[in-house]
Amino acid sequence: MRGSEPRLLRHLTGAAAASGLALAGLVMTSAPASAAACSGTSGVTVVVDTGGSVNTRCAAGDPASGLRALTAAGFSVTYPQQYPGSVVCRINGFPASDPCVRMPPADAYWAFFHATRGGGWTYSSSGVSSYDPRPGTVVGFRFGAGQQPRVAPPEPTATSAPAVTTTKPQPTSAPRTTTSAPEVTSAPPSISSGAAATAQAPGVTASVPPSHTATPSRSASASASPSGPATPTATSSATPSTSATPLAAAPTAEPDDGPPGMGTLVAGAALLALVGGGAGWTAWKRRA
Amino acid sequence: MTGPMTSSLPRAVHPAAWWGWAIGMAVAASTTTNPVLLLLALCVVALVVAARRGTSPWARAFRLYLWLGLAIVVVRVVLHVLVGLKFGEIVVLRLPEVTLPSWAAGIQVGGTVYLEGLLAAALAGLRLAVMIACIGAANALANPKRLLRALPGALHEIGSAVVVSVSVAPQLAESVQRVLRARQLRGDTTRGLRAVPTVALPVLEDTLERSLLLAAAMDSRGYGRTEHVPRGHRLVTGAVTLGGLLASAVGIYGVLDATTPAMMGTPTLLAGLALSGLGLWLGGRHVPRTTYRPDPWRGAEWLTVGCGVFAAATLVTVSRMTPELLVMPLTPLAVPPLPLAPVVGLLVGALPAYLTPAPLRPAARVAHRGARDRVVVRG
Amino acid sequence: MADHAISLERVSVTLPGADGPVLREVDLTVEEGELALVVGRTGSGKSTLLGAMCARVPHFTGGVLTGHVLLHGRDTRDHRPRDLADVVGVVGQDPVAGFVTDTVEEELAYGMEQLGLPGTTMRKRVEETLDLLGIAELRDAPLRDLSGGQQQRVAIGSVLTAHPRVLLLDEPTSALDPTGAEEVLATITRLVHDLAVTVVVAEHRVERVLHYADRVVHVSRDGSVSSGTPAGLMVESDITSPVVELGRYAGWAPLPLSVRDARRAARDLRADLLGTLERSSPADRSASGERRRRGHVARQGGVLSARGVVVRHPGDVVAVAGVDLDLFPGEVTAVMGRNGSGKSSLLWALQGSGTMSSGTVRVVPPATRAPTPETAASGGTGGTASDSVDPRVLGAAERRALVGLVPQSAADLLYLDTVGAECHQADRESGRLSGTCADLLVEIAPGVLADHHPRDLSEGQQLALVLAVQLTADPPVLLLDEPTRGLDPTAKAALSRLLRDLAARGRSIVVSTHDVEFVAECSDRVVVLAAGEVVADGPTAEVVTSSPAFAPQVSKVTGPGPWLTVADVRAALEGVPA
Repeated sequence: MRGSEPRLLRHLTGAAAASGLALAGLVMTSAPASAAACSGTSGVTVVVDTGGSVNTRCAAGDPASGLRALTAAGFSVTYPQQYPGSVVCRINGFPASDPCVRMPPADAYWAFFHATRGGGWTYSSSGVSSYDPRPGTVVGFRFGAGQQPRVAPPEPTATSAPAVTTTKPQPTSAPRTTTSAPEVTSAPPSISSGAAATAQAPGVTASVPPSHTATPSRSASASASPSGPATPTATSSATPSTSATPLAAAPTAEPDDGPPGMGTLVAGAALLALVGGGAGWTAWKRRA
Repeated sequence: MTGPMTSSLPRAVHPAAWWGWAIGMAVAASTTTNPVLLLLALCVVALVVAARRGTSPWARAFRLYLWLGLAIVVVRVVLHVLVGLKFGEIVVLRLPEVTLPSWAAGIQVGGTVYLEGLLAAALAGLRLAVMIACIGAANALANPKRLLRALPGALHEIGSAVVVSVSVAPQLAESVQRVLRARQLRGDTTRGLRAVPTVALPVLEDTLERSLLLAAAMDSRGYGRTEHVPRGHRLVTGAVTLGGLLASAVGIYGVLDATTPAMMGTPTLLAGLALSGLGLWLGGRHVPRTTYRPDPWRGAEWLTVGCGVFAAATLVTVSRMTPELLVMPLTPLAVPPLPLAPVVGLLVGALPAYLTPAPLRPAARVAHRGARDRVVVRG
Repeated sequence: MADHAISLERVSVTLPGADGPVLREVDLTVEEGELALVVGRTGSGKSTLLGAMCARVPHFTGGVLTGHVLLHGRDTRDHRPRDLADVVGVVGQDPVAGFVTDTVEEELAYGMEQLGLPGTTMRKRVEETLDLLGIAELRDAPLRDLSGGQQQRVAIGSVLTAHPRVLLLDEPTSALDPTGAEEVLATITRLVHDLAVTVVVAEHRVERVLHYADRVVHVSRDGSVSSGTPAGLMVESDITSPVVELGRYAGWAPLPLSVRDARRAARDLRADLLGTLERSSPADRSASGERRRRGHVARQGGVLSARGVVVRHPGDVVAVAGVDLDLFPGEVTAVMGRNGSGKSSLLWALQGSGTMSSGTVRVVPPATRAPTPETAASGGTGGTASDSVDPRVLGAAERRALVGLVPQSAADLLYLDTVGAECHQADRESGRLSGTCADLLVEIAPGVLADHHPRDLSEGQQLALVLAVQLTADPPVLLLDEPTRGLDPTAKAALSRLLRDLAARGRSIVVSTHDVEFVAECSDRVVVLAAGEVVADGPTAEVVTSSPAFAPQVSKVTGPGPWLTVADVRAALEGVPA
């Protein structure tokens, strides 16, 4: 197993070098999202309540899980290091105080709810990655000790026309999104890394300290790409397109006191070589 | 090879000391997903095994644990690719995804594989692999049978039973091999399920026969001898032991469930453990058994356990204080840190390789002749 | 009271599921310091008698025991085997089966640990015992790596450390080669003479122990037990040693029990025998000599030819190191050599199922060997080398029709629940007419019923069944790996007759064995292996008389002539063919 060490290191080095690109890649992988609740019975409405501000967006189509709905709606998710891919630690970089290593504490975590449009919140008995929300329902995330979001699940919209849908970079894209006003709070759009330069910006409301520049916010490419015929059909695909053009320049990956670079890698490799070599040498000597 | 603290005479270090050390190393490894620290822990364990293992057959089994660890990493990665929940940003592999019904939303069949998810799976596998390597090291360094000898008198019979059942496995494999060869002599080369009865019957009968012979031999050699114990005494011992176990169970529940009253937690657990210990001691008083050449517990043993505990304590402390130093940064992906305290803690874990007495080495001549005999007689 | 070491008072034992008692109204005493030899046919209840003496019967085996068994005054009725551990030590046939620990030292200490002796005592006794048994240099050795004789000595030592006053040994040498057996027997006599331990030993091969015994206990098949002095009891016993048989034949009194006694008594006999040798011309030497020379006579048309056979086992162990061997029809070849000399490996390699690292084995198939007018006219029965095939390239079933092998643990071949089913299966496997195997079995061992469970048969009957199964395929070459293990003298004599008979019908037989008396009875030719190489190969009389280790008792008594068995002696003196 020690033999695989150089390969692993190579991977890491490569990964580090590509981190700028990686962050840009996040833009590619996340679907553009709309602000505000979905219209009609398509899409899953996502309500995120940090306890300070509430943010409502729409994940188009039929996301396979609450987590997918969250990311499809354009929120960025950070996982605890021990439970990657299954537990939400931060949404859009909040809360910064949690180191996101272990399971978040019981009095400061993202509680996960689901509801029907206009109904009441239900604390989900299954996890974010295993609950499959039906299109036309609502999922809610509330940071705290398990309280429910402070806003009620949005009422169903009366209009049958797809007022809000995803905009996909594919030729047949939905019509221009309507900008809806921020639902609850009017906190300033303070994700300041400059990514939120598009029309969706008002939807991104988060009282997040600006130190979270590392978290790129996705900028929906709605306005950038609807070059195709604007057919107002409600056809929406759940599959986020990955061929979108990266838009925003990714913020720098490494904060000042951020992860160590090549120096530590070399030091680590040398240490491993020393101890591992010692083990090999001892074994060889005892066999001889 | 001998350090300053060592008494220079070669001897076997107490098996419980090796187990204590190995469990400490395993606890240390369990706190981290930092690949550098995990690999360092693995190297440390390998170093100690290389320097201090004996010559017995199980001492050679360490490499099997390493292979097992490798298999765990591979399985973990493969499972991640096949059914794991993919996450991350750097695309490694694009696979078609199977749409599953809603009740199976917890797994994701296929789908695009990202480097972060892949790394997370590999590192989780590596962490488990290192912990298993620690257990393998304990097995290689400490004869498990000698560990059972150190059990308290009241548990001695269970210990013997375990020893015997452990030694049945290789005998069983031997019987299967022999019967398989014998089947060829009858021109019977059926394979698979249909061959099972033709193999199982002779093997089982063989095993049963051996077990009965062994049981009879052990009985005639005094296994299970007890002094006459007064009825009242027996009742007290039983009540104390049972009460202790119950209290321990309740205590563990209390420790794990934060909503229970504080008294139900640690205090109950400690009381339960104390009671259980008392029960064992009471029960053991009437077992006349003694131990031949018991393994001594001296400085080297304290040192060995101490090193393991130090490594565990260091990493646990660091994980409480600054957990981000012990994890592989995945979101965003970055070079893992190389924190000083955990490195020192793990390196201290390597000290038993130099500061404990060297293991005994039996004469090679006997083993050689025996090896020849053994193989040929069965061949 | 002034205790006897062992005393049985009107003891009857009925084992669970048995129709009648195994032991019937047994009255027996063994005095302190005696060495008592228990003899009896297989299934006669020898083991039950020993079991009753250590309380395993009925505490462990179940069944009903009436009467009283007292060991130094302790009644087995009130004492379980574990409660007698400080009085009685028991050693079984297979030492490995009774080992609880891994190394010699721990095994020696195990019994004392159970008795709760203090550490210093244990340390002292382990050292004493290591010296007493001459295994001090093995103290750290893993038990599984020891030779059979060493293992058995450790097993004896491991019960001796508890300082029992009685030692029970159930066929302690049956799994050992002659050297190992000697080591163990020397140890036992030393215990009797130096430590005054009472020893009761059950043994099939009476010749090994008889001259050490103070008392012989004979167990009959009807469950009655008689005991007496060796010389007295042997006059009537159905189980004897060749020396005793010779003494009975020659009418010596008192009956000699050891080779030494017999040789002193045999002065006249030897003179008579030498006289017959001088009188007879080389052409018509004794009939037995003729039989043993036939190996040379029939040296055409070999049926199996092996060249440069090398067998390597994992761990760089060379079991067989370049053996050349030719087998001829009508010949019984004995393969001898100490444990681990490569006998089994050689047989498996010859059969084609075992590993063979290099070398060739060619077997002439029966079809081409069938006597045609031409070959019959030329006196040979065999085909030519060009017709021969390598059994290794054939399928298991075809291989089996060429070379049959009866492995050491013959019962491994049996897996069905009745004898009849096994036979039926054998017919099917070999593609023979239904009933072939059953007919063979009736011929080999009459009285084995088709509805018996194979595992309920005695060792001799199991061997007969496996032989019948293997002979169903009608192979021209039959190999037997240690078939005499665990057979009583009667069963052994039956096997010897059967093998001679098979050879007389044109088969080539190879038997690996440690039993020199069996070799003397049965084989035409002896091949001695040592360290995987052939060190001697020749007619039986020549090979066995040339070395004391392989010489049968009669040869030691009558030497230097070519008489190996009582039958040989009788034939020489009376002119009757052996």
